[in-house]
Amino acid sequence: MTAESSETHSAPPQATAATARRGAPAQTGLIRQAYEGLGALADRLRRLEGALVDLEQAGGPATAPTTKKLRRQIRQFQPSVTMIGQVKAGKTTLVNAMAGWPDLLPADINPWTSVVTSLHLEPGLKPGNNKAKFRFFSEEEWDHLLSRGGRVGELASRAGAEQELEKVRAQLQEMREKSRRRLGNKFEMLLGQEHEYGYVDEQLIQRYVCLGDDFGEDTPADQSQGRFADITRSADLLMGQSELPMRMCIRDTPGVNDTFMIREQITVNAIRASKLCVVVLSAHQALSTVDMALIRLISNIRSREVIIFVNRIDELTDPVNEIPEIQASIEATLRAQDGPKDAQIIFGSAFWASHALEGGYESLGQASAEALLAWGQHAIEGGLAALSVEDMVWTLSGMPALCKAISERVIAGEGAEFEANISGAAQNLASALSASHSVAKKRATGGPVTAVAPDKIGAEMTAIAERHVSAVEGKFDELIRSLDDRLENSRRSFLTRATASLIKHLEDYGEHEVWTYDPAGLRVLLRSGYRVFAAKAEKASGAVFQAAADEIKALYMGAFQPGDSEYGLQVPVVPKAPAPVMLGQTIALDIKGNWWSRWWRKRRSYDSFTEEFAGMIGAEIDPMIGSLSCDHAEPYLDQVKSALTEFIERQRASILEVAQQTQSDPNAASEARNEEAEAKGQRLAAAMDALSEFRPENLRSAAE
Amino acid sequence: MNTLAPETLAAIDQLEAALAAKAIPAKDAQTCAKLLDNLRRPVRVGLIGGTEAGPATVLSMILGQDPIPAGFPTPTLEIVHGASYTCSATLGDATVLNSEGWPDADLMAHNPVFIRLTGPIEALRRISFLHLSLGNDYPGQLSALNWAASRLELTLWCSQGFPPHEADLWSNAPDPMKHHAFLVATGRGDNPGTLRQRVGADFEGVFAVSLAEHLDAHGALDLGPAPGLKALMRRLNADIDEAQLADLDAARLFLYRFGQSDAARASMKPAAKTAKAAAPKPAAPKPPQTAPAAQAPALAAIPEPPPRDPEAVATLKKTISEPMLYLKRRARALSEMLDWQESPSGDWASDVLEHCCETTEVLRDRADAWPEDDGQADALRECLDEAWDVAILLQVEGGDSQARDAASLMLQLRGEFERALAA
Repeated sequence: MTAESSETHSAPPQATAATARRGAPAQTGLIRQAYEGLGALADRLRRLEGALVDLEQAGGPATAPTTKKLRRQIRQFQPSVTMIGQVKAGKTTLVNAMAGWPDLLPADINPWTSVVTSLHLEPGLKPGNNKAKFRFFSEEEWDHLLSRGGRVGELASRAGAEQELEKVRAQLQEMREKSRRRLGNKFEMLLGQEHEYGYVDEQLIQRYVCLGDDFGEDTPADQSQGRFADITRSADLLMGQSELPMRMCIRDTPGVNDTFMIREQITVNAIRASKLCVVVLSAHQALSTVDMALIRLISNIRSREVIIFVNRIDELTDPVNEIPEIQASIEATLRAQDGPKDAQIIFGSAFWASHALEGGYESLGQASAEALLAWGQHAIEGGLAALSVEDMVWTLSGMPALCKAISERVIAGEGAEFEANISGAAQNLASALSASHSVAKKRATGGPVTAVAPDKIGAEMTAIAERHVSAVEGKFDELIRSLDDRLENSRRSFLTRATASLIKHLEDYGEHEVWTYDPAGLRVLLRSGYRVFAAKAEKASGAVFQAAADEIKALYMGAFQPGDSEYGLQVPVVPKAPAPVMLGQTIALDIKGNWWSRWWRKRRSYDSFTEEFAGMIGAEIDPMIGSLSCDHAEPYLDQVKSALTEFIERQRASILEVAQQTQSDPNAASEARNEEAEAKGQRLAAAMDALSEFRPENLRSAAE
Repeated sequence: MNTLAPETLAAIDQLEAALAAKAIPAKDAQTCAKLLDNLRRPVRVGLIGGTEAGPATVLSMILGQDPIPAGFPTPTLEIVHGASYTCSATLGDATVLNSEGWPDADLMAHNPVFIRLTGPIEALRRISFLHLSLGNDYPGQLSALNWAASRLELTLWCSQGFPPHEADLWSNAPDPMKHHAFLVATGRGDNPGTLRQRVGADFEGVFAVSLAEHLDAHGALDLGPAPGLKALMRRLNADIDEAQLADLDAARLFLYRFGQSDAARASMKPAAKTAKAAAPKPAAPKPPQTAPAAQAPALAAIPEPPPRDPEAVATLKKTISEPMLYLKRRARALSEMLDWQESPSGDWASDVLEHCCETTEVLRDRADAWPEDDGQADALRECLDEAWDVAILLQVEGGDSQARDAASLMLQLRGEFERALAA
């Protein structure tokens, strides 16, 4: 069954006191304060939208589709932050605190679940308009998990570890049986489906996200508790948070160290989809080699796209002295493991944050209160004495620092890119409109206007589009080829070294010592090869975008001779190449389990083993290498092409409209029309005035 | 190019001096002796195959003369460098007959089973040969291969069409022999392309050599080596050059670590210029008295690459002279660092590895800005990419021997730069 169907429910089945309370979070002002940095971005986007409204009024029917689309994009813009972390780091409590809504998501999620929960927070949403959407695994994903045992199954079968594979299978079989008992016969039918609800409450979340205890299986309570959690793949919860200056999405991912490594893949995808990552660690197990999987994942993202939050400092006995030690240890680990060395590290406690949000401190507990006092004493010396108790606890919880860091990254990263895209398109629209107006004016006043045939200029635009799209394709073709060469060389170097190391091991220690070989080097090589490609591809795309803009401008100047009225054309922003997050996924060499030894002891001579080893490692790393080309470089080409095409199509629409003007009937001018043109001119002037703050040269001077 | 380079001779002298002066700790003396052996000993090349495939004929073509008089089958035969032409023949009853000159018909009439020849041929200082004709019985063939395996660095497997029974025999040949072997196809209809596809990774290369040209030319002088043979010899020479450079680098590094003398320091300095000036012209071997008149021997007839456009050379020099200076600066720092191995404080290996990674990384970044269309610059850039790859992998592995490998990697890199500049 592949067709997706969805059920929609509009109201909670039974409204209890608890669910009624859940319509909206309590207003404390703390969230407003924490994210106030985002207010500036929100204001700018509002001004941008205002300018688009003016443009819509100033332009004709040819302008409206573009302005409407841009305005829709502004309304829908939702910066997102992805939370990843250790299983017991208190990620969910933190997510709740960040949303200003303690207890929103149940914190005791069974580690078996693999749901990615996205909280879509909207400032303007009316209470009662909350929505929830749950998506189940597709048949294919479920089969992959069950029949092949996910990644671990693949690894085990490749390594010839039949016994391990058997164990994995047995566990999975058990899991399937449990799911069947819980879900009944409908179970397989549910795969690939979506369930939608017009409300969000605790029970609903419990049912889809949180797996109930096994012993409760046959009781009626289980009907609602964790009924679907086994097969839920993602949960999207839309909720109001009136204190936020703009929409925002907080995405909670499952921990990465699961038995079957299926969640690793889920996390990889979530990180790839997001421009900002918060890595949540627990203060007592800061970051050790146990978290290699986590470090591997984040080391493929740029430092400025990672924030590390060390949670649960409330459980430290001596926070004042321990925190600097933990910080040093995390930094050392990141350095040693080639992680994002410069990532910002913030310390805090989601537990304290919840208390600050709820305004009660009775349930803090003795130890936590002592830690709070110690840390507070330390902070007061740093100048926090003037704050109220709530504000102080809130500050000590690390939440304001975290939200501020998030706001800054959003403004500098995702927000800036989005703004540049929209304002560039708006400015180009304004330029074209102003040209169109001046042509109309010239015709009305009997000035000399050369008629331009829309077909002809349209054909020239088509030629420009074709030429530059194929220039991008040609350049990418060349770059992808050299990427492939580079990756192939790295693959060979790695195989040679690893094989040599193995032979040496066998010679020195014989066959009864377990041999290990760290594939970190391979990752460094692949990452470097890909980064070189990404940098070159971004640069080459930028050059093509510029060339296309130059040609369009020349075409425009030649056709309409706009004279002194300036025709500025903003070059569109080149999309960023996707980060190679999947390089961090676990491969057989990462697993230092003993099945390895059993596997290689079976072999005959060292040499015949070496060949098989090379074959096996080849099979392990080839999908990784292939993915750089197929899932990163090639989709990136599509992204670049579509950005270029969209830009050219917009200019085509604008140019065609001006061409229309050159052919319109000048005698049709009337008093009323003149007035209308006057009004339009004023709207346009207003829009251009508003847009001037977004011009790149003004942005630069504002920054200085 | 067919004899020992002066820098190799210099390294040999220094190693010998160091060993004699007992300047080297006992545990490292063994390494030193092994290095010396590697430097002194010519590369041992085996010609192996069934009689019909003509390994003996191929040998004659390479030497440019027939070591065994016409009309006699060639037994297992070893040819090495010596002060004069001598022959030492072992007969079936283990009697050994020693004589001046290479064998004549009288000697061959005794049916020797093994012959060892020496000759004052300069090229033999670089390559020595072992000819092994395989009989018909499988166990005999296998034991012959096992015997030969430890006596060879490089194998030329002569064959006509590489039939299944040979493929089977080869698959059971000792592993070390398979590590560096070429297939020499001597059959009339042998197509190297097809064979290459069939044998895949079993051989490093496939070369077709026509025996007919030799046979036809027998008596008719100066036909010159066949084109397939030329290609084979070019490849052999290139491989040997590479191996000798690696040996030389290892020796220099060793000398540097133990010989603190100025001479050893000097040996770390680039020797390319002097080497170029002093390199002897390839000398054609003098024909021995007893041997039949020589054909043009393949050994001396390896064509030098065509001279390069001086303008291109100048551009390249301009491009890489600054990185070369950088590399030299880094080499000085590295050589100081290498001295600290015995010092108990600090992490010697990881410092060396870090240094080498950094060096290759910086060079790689500079190489990014080099012109795209210069073949030589491209080759160097590729070489830098590879060096960086290896340096990173070594760093991740960690350890003393990895640090030493990384240091010799730097030396090799320097050699590459010097060769590019000297060309």
